[in-house]
Amino acid sequence: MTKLTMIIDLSRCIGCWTCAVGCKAENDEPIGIWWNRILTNGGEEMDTPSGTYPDVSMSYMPINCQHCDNAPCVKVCPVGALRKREDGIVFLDWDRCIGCRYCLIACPYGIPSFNWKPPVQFPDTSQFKIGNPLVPVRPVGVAEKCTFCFQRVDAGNLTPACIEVCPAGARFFGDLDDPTSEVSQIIQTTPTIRLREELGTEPSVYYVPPRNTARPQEVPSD
Amino acid sequence: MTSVKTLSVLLLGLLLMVTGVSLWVLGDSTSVVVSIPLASTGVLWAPLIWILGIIITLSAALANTLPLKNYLTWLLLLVVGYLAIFVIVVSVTSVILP
Amino acid sequence: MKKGYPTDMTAEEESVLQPLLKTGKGFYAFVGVLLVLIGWFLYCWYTQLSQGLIVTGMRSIYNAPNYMAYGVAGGSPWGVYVTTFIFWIGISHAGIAISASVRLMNLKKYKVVARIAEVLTLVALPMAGLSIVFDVGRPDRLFNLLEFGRFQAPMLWDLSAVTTYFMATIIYLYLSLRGDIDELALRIPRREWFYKRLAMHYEGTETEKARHTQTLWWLAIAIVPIMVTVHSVVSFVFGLMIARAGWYSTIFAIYFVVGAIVSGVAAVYSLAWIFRSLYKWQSLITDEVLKGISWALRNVLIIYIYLWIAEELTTNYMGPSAELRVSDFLWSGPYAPIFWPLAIIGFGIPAIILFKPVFARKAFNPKLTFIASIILNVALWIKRFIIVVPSLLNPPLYQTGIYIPTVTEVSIILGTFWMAALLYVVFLKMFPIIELDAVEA
Repeated sequence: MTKLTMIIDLSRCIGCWTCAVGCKAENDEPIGIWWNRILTNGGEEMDTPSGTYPDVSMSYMPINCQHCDNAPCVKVCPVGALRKREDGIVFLDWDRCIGCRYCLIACPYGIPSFNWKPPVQFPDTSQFKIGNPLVPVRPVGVAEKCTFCFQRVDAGNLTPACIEVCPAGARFFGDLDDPTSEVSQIIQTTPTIRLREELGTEPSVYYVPPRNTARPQEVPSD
Repeated sequence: MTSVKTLSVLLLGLLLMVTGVSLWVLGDSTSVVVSIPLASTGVLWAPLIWILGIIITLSAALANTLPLKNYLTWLLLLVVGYLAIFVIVVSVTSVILP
Repeated sequence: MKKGYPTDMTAEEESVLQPLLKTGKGFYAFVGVLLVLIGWFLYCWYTQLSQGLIVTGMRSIYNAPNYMAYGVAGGSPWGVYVTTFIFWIGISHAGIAISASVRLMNLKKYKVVARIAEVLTLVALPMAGLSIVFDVGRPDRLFNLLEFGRFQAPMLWDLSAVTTYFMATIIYLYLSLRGDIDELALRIPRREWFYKRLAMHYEGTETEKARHTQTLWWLAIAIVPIMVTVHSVVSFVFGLMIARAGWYSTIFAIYFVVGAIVSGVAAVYSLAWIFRSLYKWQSLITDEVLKGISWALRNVLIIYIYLWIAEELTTNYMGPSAELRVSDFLWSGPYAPIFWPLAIIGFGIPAIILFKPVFARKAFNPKLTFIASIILNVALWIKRFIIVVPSLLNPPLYQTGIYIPTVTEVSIILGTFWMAALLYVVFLKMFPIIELDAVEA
């Protein structure tokens, strides 16, 4: 069995959003929709430090679909647009979705996005197509979310766009059922956590907690 | 008081309800491998069979009190009317939606 | 056909048939206004369909920080459409609560309002369904529910239960109406062709009447659990969501069902009072009948307030922080200007009016109770709004935005009210809203 898993090393994440932008380009996400979002641990705005000066620290939490084994979104979808594949990917079928937004509500991580208006790509993709042609453009009124780049996985390439473009090497992806894969090695050697474990969703995204966080240097007083 | 007509309608309705749910249960494979174009989950239209079963079961009340021809008219009216709502909503909105 | 059947009406029958016999200018003016308002609603729905749900105030739960999101910041994915759906389902609980009580418990006194309640259900359920059609992003894929529907999904339970309830109600209404339709063929000769066909060979014999009574009795018994199921499954859409603080609660099924009965009974009282005043039916819908309805309303209201207090206490005593955030959002946050007037005015005033006859031993005041019933239904709409939206605006990490319904959105849900009113008055003009044998008794 394949068990596709993603690991994100939070001590390497610099909050640059490159993974989010890479994802957006690969999957042709319209204006206003981000499948991959990088939350800042200090507050609601980007790059807000946590704590009170001078004891502040900066850390980030990239969050995308957790592709849970016990996914609430799959359970509640009235038309079965959300389905869990055998390789672990929770796939949202854009052709079947009726846009009820129950998955947005059932997801404990607030992941799915919704096409509130007819999608507008920027830059104008009628001139320059940037998305992967294997990913269809979604119409207005359907939900969408991270697919672990199923189009790459199905073609044999176990490197989703976000893993490929991360400049800090903070993201890893692979088959957890394969003991030789990178993700299996990391899981065995490094303590990892998953989000909201107490809910029993069994997510497939693991986070390596930050071991060091950016701190302001002390200014020498001379 | 209950006639053969009523009982047979009741049985037919309940049978359809059970069939609808069973077809669904037997066919449900929420973790089936999906490839584009997509596989279905459950047997297609099982919920419709279930709903028709509900309508027919309830119509036993009409079967018990109306002459056969009138009962069948009512049944047709209920089923067609119900589906017509879907048809109307779908056709009107598919013209307007981008 | 029927030997010795009287062809001239009694005074009471004529009174009951007033709406069918006479149509004044007021009626046409009322319908005219409704049609204009429905036209505006249709235009707004067209706008929503062509431009997408962006024309509403609803938004996704999380989004990128505002400045990167081009105006689609976080908010509430559900809003007034879902609230109105719950509201209409609530109103629909009148019909059978009253009809079944009348039939199963032999409360002949309330037979006069039974049909008012049944028609209300018949009109409310399609409006509930429409509210959902307005809410989904792709109503052109509605058949997917029937083709691919999953029985594990709470929304399929909703679809099944509401369909069952609607079909049962329309069958029940027809069978209880059938005798009256047959009689109307004699009373209103110019519409005889219509009523004769609709009566479908009704003979009016004693055996046939007995058969109808027995069938209706069984149907009433079947409908009561259906009614409880309907609002329970609606509550499960919310109550089963572990992810949403403020929703995940074991009490939701009973809470919603009781709330629905309050809604429904209040609506029946309102309509009964309006028709009584309009058509001068004080001798038919007597003060005693209205008093009885208000008695029932008072009792379910106190149960509802009790459940509400239990919910608030459970959340606020030492609630998990996520629950406290949702509660604070209502008690002292942005929605406080909605919450406190709701509790004090929306529920407090009707409660005082309904309880006054108990303590003050004063005569029951039908008009004041009517005002209470209207306030109560508005309050219950708002109550459902504050159940649906605050939990969605307060996901685990922080409050993500605000939800303010737009004019388009409000026009669309008001459209359901106009259409409901139109359907109701059409029925009023075609069939007696008071059972004719309630009069003849």
